[in-house]
Amino acid sequence: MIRISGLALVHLALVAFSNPARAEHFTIDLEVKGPKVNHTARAETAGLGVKPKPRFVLEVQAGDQVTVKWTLTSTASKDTFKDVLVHFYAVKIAKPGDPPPPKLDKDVLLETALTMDFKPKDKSQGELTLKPEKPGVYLLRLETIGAAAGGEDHEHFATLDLVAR
Amino acid sequence: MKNSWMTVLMSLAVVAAAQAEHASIDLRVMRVDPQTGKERDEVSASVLQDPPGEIGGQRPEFKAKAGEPLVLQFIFKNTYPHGEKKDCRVRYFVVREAKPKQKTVPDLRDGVVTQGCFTLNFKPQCRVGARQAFTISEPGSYLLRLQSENTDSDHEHFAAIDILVEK
Repeated sequence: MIRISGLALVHLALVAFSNPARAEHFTIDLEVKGPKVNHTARAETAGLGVKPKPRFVLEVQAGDQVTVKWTLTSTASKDTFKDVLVHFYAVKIAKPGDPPPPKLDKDVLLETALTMDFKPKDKSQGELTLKPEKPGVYLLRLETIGAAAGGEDHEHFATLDLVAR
Repeated sequence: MKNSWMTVLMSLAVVAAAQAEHASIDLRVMRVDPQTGKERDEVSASVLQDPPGEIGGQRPEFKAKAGEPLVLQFIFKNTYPHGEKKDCRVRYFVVREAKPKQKTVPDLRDGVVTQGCFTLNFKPQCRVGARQAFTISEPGSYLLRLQSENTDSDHEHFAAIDILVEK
């Protein structure tokens, strides 16, 4: 019985480590900097059954210039992820922690996208400025779209809330 | 136009403005009605080469009021068909000009309203796009410019629009 359990554990471990959902193939640094504060959000995964972490809240003043720097890096050792869409947006939401709106059709401060093939160690970077002119809560999110089609079963994202007082 | 640029970005139906060029650019600026949120009075520019740069063509002109809500939008498409190029950059900015229609690009260390830069590997047909809300608070002449950088070529590509801001 013990031997069977041991084999089962070994089998489970092998399955777990060979499952693409367990192996992270991208890292993300999403650094958001205001005049007096900054924070760097790291990659999470989005997929079935994956609960997102609570978002960090960064406070600035309305009218402050905010700089966003992101880096998306492939950490895959062999795989190439083709035609990955790297999507970033900053959108007004009602309150911190609210989920991303289903459509980015209003109150969008900034939305960007690029497409790229990611070979092992490839990276893409962005540096952007934005200015929340009015007080409010803004969700900032960098996400992959299409990484799942390249052999992973999940996408990657980094996110935080920006509160303009 | 609203909310459709991502669809266009992802669509293979985007036709290069000049297929012989290595890039196509669709750069637009428009105003947003503060009451309805609707966009109007769009001005657009397409791809040019640098060199010769700003002396090579007349820039379209967009007139705005100080503090008026504006939106800039672009789609840059790499149409160079021969393989991948590493660490290329696509940069956009709105910066104050010393005078309207000036023939040199202003220094970005001063007078920048907004800017962004992307670094990525170009492969044939890859695209970069952005859509940004912004305002210009001070009257004057401003340059909206989108440009490629570090593409390992004897020329770069850009598109530009003059924004004239009145009180």
